[in-house]
Amino acid sequence: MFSVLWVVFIPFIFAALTPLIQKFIGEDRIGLWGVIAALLSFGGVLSLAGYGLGDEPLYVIYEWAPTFGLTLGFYIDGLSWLFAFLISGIGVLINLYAYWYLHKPDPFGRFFAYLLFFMGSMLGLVLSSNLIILIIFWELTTISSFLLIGYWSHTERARYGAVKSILVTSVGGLAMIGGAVILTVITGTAEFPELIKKAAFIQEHALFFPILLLLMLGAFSKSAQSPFHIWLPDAMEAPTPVSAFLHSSTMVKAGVFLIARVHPIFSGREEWILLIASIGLITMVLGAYYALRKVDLKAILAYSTVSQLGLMIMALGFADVLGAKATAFHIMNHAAFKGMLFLVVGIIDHETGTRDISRLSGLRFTMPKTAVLAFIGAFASAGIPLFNGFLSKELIFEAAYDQIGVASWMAVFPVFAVVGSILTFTYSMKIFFRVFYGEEAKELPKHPHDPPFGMLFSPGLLAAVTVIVGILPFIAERFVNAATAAITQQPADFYLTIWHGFTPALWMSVVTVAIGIVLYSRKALLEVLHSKPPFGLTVNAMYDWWYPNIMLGAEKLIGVFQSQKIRFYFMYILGMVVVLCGWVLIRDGHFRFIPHDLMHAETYEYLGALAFILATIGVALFRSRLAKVISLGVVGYMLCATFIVLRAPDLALTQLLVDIVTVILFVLVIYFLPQLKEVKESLSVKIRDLAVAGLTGAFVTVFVLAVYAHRHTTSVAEYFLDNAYELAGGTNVVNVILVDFRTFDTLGEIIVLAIAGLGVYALVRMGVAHKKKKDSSI
Amino acid sequence: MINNLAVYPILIPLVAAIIQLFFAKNTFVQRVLSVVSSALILIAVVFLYIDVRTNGIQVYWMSDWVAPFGITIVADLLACFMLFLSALASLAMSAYAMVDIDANREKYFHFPLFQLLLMGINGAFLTGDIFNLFVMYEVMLMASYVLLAHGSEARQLRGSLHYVMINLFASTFFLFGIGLIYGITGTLNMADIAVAVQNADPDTQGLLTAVSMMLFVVFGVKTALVPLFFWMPDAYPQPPVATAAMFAAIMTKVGVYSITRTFTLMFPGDEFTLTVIKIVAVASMLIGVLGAIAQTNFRRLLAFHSVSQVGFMVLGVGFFSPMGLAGSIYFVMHHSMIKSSLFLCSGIAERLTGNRDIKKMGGIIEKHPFYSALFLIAAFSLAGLPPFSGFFGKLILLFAGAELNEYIFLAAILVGGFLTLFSMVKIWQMAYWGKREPEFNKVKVGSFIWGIIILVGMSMVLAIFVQPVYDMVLEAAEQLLDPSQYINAVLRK
Repeated sequence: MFSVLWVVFIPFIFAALTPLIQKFIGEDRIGLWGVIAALLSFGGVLSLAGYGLGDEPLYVIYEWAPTFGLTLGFYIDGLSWLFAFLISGIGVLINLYAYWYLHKPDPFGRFFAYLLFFMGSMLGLVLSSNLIILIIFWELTTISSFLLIGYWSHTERARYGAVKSILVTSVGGLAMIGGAVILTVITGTAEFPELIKKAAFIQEHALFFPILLLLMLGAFSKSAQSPFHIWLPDAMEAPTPVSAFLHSSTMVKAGVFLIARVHPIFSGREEWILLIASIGLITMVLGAYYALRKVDLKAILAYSTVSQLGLMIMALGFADVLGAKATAFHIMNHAAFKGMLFLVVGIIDHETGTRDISRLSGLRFTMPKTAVLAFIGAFASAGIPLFNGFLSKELIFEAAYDQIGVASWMAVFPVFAVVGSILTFTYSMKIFFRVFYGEEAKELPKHPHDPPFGMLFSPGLLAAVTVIVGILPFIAERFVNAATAAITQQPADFYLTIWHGFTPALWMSVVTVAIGIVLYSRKALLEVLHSKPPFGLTVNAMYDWWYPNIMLGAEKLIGVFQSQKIRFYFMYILGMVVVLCGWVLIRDGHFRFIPHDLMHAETYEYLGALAFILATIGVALFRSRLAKVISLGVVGYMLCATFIVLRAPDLALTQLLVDIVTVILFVLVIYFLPQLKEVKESLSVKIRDLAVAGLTGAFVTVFVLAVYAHRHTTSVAEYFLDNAYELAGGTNVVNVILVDFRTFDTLGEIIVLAIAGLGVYALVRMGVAHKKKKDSSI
Repeated sequence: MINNLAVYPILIPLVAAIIQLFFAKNTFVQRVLSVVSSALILIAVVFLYIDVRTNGIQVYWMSDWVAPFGITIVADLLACFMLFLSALASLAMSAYAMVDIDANREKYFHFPLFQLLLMGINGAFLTGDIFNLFVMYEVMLMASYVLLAHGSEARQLRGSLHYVMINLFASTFFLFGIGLIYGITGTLNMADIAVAVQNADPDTQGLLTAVSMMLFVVFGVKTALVPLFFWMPDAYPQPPVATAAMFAAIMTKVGVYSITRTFTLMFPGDEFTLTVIKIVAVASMLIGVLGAIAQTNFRRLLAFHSVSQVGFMVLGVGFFSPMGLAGSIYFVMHHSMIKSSLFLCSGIAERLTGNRDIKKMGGIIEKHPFYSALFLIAAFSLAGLPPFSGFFGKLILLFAGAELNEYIFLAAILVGGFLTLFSMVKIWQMAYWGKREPEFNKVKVGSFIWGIIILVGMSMVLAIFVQPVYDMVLEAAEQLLDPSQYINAVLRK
């Protein structure tokens, strides 16, 4: 239990301490800190081998937030242990390699902090027993990948790649969260072991496919499946150790891991095969095709990774034991040979200054050790016997061939598996022969030579694994069996051998190699493949169109609301009020003119109301400010008159005073104001404004009348009238309300006035101060 | 149940402001008083919360006039949370303002005005009287207006003029609505109104719904929901950053609080009102964040985000389930911490680069990695990436939506989250990445980041202790959904 926490949190703790340690041991040596962290974590993983390779998985949980099915839980079985083994093991090698790879003025500390942060997140992802915790770690790997791709953020391409990666993968990440929430709500748990028990229930649920699709969007975007594959090639802007670690051997396999993890929960229905195997197949062929067309070594490897991930996902999509076994084996092999190839490309880039295969050739003379490594990597990738890639690829062929028995249309799988493999064979040969054979390249940016031992060690070790597993595959048996058992939830007991006899899979391999050789040796055929892109509209072009245009579109949309014209702002407010309230009134039949006791008004009251209305219209229509103010004054006086009619003389008096003061103030201020600008409005604008004003007026009138018809029968006012003298000692009820019953309101209003006073004082004084400053500066 | 503690959050800032005015020349005393006042409120709120949890809703009768006749101060769990946030934010802003506010503003009443703003905000959270709520809004509006216009620069006056005009216009409708409510129910006490609404005959119900919609529009303006948000993006970039952060942290939440109170206590949501609320919320979530995407002015971008984030909170109210309301309260807490720390971050970036436009910034991480890390945490938290508080805020709302089978809103939450991430990444890659050897103004970044550390640290607490925090807000949500508790406490039934 302790060792699980150790494995996951040691990298985080070490990452957090990096800035501090860097101060003590110096920036140059901080790489060793990373190596130590990775080694400690790797040691922890090894100590868990008993669970990973044995029969009994380890399952520990700590409660976190049970309401949301959140437990900090860890589940160590063959699948998660295999991944943890690869992540921490390759992590050690990558940290070691990066120690030699980085050079000034790159900030070392930040690099290793990010790298360890990633490693912890990735280990957490594979070891967690809880879908939501898995997603949390998943997003952490997205964040760390974003930071690592943007490590050389002073280059435009690095920023572009980083942004693309986080945007594309978070589309899937967010979809996954949605799927996980729905799944948790319908099953009541997010724990994988529990979910597996409820597999039958989930598969019969009406929301089965939406949940599966949402989760798979996450897996596909992370594992760069078509059409989400676009982020991975641009992620190659990261330093090469990052590409090797995150973007080929570990993080991009998170999607494969997730599919394997939920395999026992979701597989069995036809949607699984249709969705997953097809996407895998398409990606595999497309990725290999694009890889063949590229000239940048890292771009070739990126698309090759896309293609290989597709291959694994296709095999998992078959939902059978053989597919699971083939995938488990290929995950291991691919991590070794592709990670190694990336490191080799890093060496080539480092020592020659370029990754362009049209400029590189004949490096075998100057970089013989590197050439050996590249040979092993390329041949493993091509699927040549005696290298590990051959073995797992043959298993996948076998699994694909078996699908013909399931349904005849599924013959597309073996056919296209061969097509993809032919392309793979061809670009693999290109990587090796173009770069290391032929004339010795001249005019390279740097003078090429083999790198120091430190940089050869990591790829060398991976190359050794590639060859040893290729020749003696039984070494990997326990790993593969344990992982297969975990994926299928059935005991697995296979033997891995080189020779299976003359099986269909072998013939598929033979065909692959034969056509591949022809394709590679006939320049004309290669030219055809290189000539023109298959589609005018690529996903990349869509992304590049969308990115600036969503900002432009958003700007236009916001312009609709933020017109900077206060008139429109008022219209929106009035519109909202009238529409929302008006709709309710109409719905409930209140929108009618009720001629009840209100009609008992005297003639002079009607006349007053008319004056009221005319004066209000006048405020809007008069051209000069003075006339407007006077008209406003009339409105005020009519209000006073209303108070008098309603027998509230003290209110009327107050209102009168306020009005007089306001009008005087206005008249005084008008003198200082600039001339009113005459604005010519078109007729349609006038009609629109009139409609808004008219509608609002009508609405308010109807509303008030309706409320009046339903007015209260009792109110707090009676209490005030009854008790003003007795309890509050005042005879003027209004005064008593203001200074006693509701004195807190009065306090508030006094404060408002005080603030206004302070504000005016401050504004005037500060304005004067500004002016002085400006004057003196001139 | 009469509890003096309940008025302290209003009284302390008022007294502090008055004392500060006596020391108009001595800005040091003013600064210290600001911090002391916020700290005292914080302590009072903690005790008040304990009281409310153990003894139920606490009530204070202003001038000892019995409800519903006088003005009643009511502290329930929701009010306590909001008060806690306002005290926390004002404490962090006071700490930041110690070094941020220029001498001229200090001399002209920045600190007393800030305290009066705080008084208005706290008053709005505590009052149990709808007219008094209006008065507290006026206090808040006036104080914030002066703080916005403070400085008398032309662009400030322009931004703040729209602010004050629109808010006054909305206040007119507020007053109108209050008048209508009084006309129908004959009372201004919110608990009393709730009783009257419960007992209203069916014919009157429609009128009451219409009135509640009017209040919704008013609060929508105050809290800047789509399509009523126009004043906000122009107003927030004007004042000193500590003030803008205070506005973002808590002032917009007053509107959310009022919406919550209105539609749980006085006019419990029916299908129509809840649908309206949810639609407006989703529109805000999406259109607000699109507005943010279009900006390159750091603070305007953040201001637009408030429009969007308020939508999430209001959506939780619209769900009207215990989990939805709890999610809304959790989101309010998360957002007030994170958004204010983002504003403070923008202030530092402005100082470093002498610019407000992120296009003209760049390379901050090369010189100030720790401050950049703080920004990144806050930014990813706002975007709802795990394991930060924003993720859990969204997670709760997602669960609430899934439980109600409202999948369309789930999609809206996720899309909103994606676009938020987009805009945060935009800031990060333009301002914090980009140059290898940037040149900055000399700024003591270390003395500015304390406020940010407090706020980001608190948000991490929210994230790590999500279950206990959720249990607390759930309690508040359940109290809201059972208005009889509030009514009985106020009316002594």
